[in-house]
Amino acid sequence: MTFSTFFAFFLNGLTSAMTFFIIASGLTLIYGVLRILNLAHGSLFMLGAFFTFQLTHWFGNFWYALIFAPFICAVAGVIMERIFIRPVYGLPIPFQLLLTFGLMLLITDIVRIFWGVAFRTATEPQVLSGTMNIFGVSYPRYNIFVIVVGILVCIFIWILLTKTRFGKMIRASSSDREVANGLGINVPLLYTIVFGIGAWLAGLSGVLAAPLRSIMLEMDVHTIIEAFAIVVIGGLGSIPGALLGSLLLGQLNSFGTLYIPRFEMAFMYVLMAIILLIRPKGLLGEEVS
Amino acid sequence: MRYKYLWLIALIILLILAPLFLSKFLMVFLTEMLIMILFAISFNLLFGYTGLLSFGHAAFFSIGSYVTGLVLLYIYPSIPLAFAIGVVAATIAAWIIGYFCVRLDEIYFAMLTLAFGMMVHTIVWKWDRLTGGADGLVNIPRPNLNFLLFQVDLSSIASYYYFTFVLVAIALYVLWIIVNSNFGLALRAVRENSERLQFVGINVRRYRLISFVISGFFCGLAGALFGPFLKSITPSTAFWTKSAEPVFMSLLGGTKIFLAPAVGSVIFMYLKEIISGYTELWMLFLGAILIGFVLFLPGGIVGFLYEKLRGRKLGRVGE
Amino acid sequence: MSKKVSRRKFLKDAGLFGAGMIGVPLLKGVSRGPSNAWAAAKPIKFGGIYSLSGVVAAWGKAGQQGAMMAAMEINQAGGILKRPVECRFEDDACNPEFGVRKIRRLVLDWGADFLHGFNHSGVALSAVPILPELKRMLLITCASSPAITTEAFNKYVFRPRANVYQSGAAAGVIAAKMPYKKWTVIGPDYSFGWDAWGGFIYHLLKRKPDVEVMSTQAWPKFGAGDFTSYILKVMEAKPDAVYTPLWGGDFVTFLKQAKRYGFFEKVAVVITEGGLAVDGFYALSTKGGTESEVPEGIWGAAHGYWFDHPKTEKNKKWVEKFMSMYGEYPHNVAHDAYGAMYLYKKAIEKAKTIETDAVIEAMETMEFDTPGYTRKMRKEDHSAFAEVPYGKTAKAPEKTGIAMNLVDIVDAPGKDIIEPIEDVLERRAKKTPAPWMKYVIKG
Repeated sequence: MTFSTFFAFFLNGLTSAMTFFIIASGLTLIYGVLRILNLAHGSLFMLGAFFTFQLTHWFGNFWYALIFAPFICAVAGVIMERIFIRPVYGLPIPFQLLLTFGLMLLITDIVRIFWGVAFRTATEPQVLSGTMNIFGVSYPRYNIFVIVVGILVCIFIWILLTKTRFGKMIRASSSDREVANGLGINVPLLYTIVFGIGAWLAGLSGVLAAPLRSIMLEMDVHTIIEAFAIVVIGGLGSIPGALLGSLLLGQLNSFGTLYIPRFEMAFMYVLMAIILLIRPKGLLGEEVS
Repeated sequence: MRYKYLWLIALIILLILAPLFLSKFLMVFLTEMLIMILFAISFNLLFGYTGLLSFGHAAFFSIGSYVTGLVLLYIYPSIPLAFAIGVVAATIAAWIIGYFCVRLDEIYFAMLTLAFGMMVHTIVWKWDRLTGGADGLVNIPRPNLNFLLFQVDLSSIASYYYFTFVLVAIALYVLWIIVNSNFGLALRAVRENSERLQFVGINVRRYRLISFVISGFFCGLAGALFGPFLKSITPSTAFWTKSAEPVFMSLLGGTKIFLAPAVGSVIFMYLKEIISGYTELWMLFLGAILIGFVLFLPGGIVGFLYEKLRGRKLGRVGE
Repeated sequence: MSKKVSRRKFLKDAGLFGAGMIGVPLLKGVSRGPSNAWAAAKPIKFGGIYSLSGVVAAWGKAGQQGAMMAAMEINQAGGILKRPVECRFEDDACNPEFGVRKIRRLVLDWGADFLHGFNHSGVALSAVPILPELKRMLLITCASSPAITTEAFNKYVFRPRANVYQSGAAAGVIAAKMPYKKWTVIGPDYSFGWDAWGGFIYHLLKRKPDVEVMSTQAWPKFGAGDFTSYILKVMEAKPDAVYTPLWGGDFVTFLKQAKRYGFFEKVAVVITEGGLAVDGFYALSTKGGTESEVPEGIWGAAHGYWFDHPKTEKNKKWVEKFMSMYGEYPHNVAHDAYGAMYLYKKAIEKAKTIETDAVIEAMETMEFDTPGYTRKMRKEDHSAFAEVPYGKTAKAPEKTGIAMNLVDIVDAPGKDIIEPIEDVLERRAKKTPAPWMKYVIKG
């Protein structure tokens, strides 16, 4: 294999890793702070993709979608949290899963009502179309853009969690809710905001993914399972873990097509099982109480 | 005072007489519903009675389906043989998967079962020389049943309905006995307080594994029935959304009473089959109902009614 | 714009939105007013199952369009055996389990007398075994895996169109004239994909034995959505030419992604069996339909019918009528669904009854007309002697909405390309895998 082909595969893997990371970080953030496993996270991703189609269709401008669609998803997330999720804090896992599964079904049919059942496409903006030269390799410009955005999101989350007061509040609440309450942190409000951020991330991932693939109704059930695998492998509640897991899965999807086209997906589930059996807190996770 | 079983006897009589007054469409519907009831109640052995939430139970259902189908198609077209091998395959899979899973608790148990379930899905989908890949097994025959001295023709809708009904009834009866035995009591103890039991010297893991295997056995039987019913099997029977079905059927109906998941199955099947005849938006209704149940009726329909009628609290799963 | 509005209104009047009840089509438009006998006559029910949602929704919609158009015409002309035609459509969502459920629902719940449909071969293969229990005929108007009339065959299924053995033979004729030696494939990972590629290479090797079947092949799953790794894999192997059975939304997505990597500059020729059907052109047209993303010089069969060919009066008139009804060029599935309804009419009228067995007997040897072609059923396997057109893409700004056309179209003759019946019967009896499966290499 030539260097240029290898590099193209690597960049492909990096591109999907970034879309994975953005959605997985939202999922793991929500779990880390709220202890909620949100099965509807893939639905928020799907909403982001459909909104992207709609906004580019109406305005012919991808940037509107990039700016507005994640916020619409964030709003949807906030509504979800306040009305549906809040009552189930503290309830056992089966009920969380059941509730978020119900939300997933609901959102799927809402999308069906508004957008029908045919598949959609969204095109990347003109300025990002075509290829560019990277280390001698001709590679699509839009993919590079996605990688850059992914890195920016990474930095943004890192700054948010470590350098801001808000981030300190999040970290305090995720390790001990009662202490956080005692410190005067408005935990319910914090939870809502965190969920909103997670939803925003899911929506953003959907926007970025939209020009890369076809936009269809089954996106949610496939994406959520991949996000779950990443989050478990990386460590429930760990953002660096989500990054590591995403990079692994991204490259697996890319190179796997070349070398192990038959069972590439099984690898991920096998890895998930091994992690759960040997190191349940995940590759980079902390002890979950 | 056996009057409490009167309703059950009436129901059984109704089900036996069903082909006389039901349309063929409803009989097909009822057949599938019986299969799902078996699936849900077998699942609930592990969930409601042993306290373990598995998100990968479709693995055993699909292994039962695929192996039964493969035997019927390529080895020998005999229903008893195919069913036996299919159920055994599902049970062995449950043994292997359960061996690993019962070491974990709570959410980790659920995640691990999910991982194994999706592993099975990937295998049945990608091993296309054996399983037919994305198209699955097609043209599964439904040969006449040679049972003892009888020859039963299973090709008609009514006869397969009866066949399913008899097998499901027997399976449920056996499960009922298991649940009410000492073993069943021990399972409930494991569910309530596994730590304490371990201090008393009871091998909690072993009980969990046995429960897992029994659950896998009967889920495999449900899967075996499913193949000749549809005359084809596809990888979607192993996808995680299929694993989610018995979870919410149990939660909808109620997990603490033996037949309660059957009510959840009825609701689910009704929505999927009947409502979808009027609107393509049946998932909207199902989603709304699931949400409503979690928020307002967490004990499930039967649990709710039971508490109302008896004035006794059943407690929720996981508590 | 106004064309679109009137089309929508028309479709709405006909109840043609999504699946569901269509009713007795166009009764209110009938010029000879309904007589008492007509109003009292029990309708003949035709159930259609198509993939109305998902990646190939446009193909399902085309089936609806064709069948509805035929049903309306038939009713306007007095129906079949003086009974009106009633249509209902169900969506299988490319899901074989749904296919089985919907076919049972159409027959057992709605009371369908006759069935037509299936875009997706996997769904068709699951549904065909159900027909004997329902005792209903099924006319396959799109799905083209040969297994439907070979391994899975029963007397109730008919396919009044070509399968991929036939279109593979037609493509083999074209490819044999080309100088390319190293061929590979990027296709959907299920029976249709395997059979289409295998059928093509099987025929190509017969005519040009020095062709090299590359072992690096790309088999993304149907509805994959992201083909980039597969595209890179194929390009890395440096084939001379590529055959692709990708169709519907998959082909559209593939083409867009492949262009990003310069695929069509690096690979000499691409042949696609069904990718460039009319829906693909519409989806890939840009700037309001005046330009297209489709490169020139790609060979395609449009899955058996291209509206601009043959250039007969009958075909032209039909295309014009279709355009005035629906506002778009007819898709091949519309053409075949339309033809299927008329085939039913002809067979039922010949049998003089709607009894399934009698209609089967009447249809088995029947010659019938579609807007583009004349075809003939073959008794032993209910497949059809059908022409398969192959042409290549070229810019054509006069074709409104798609800006491209298939030109230099040659029809491969029906009797030359159909699989010999001895082979079909032998494979059916011995249950051996098809001889072309060995060319499907998954690595």
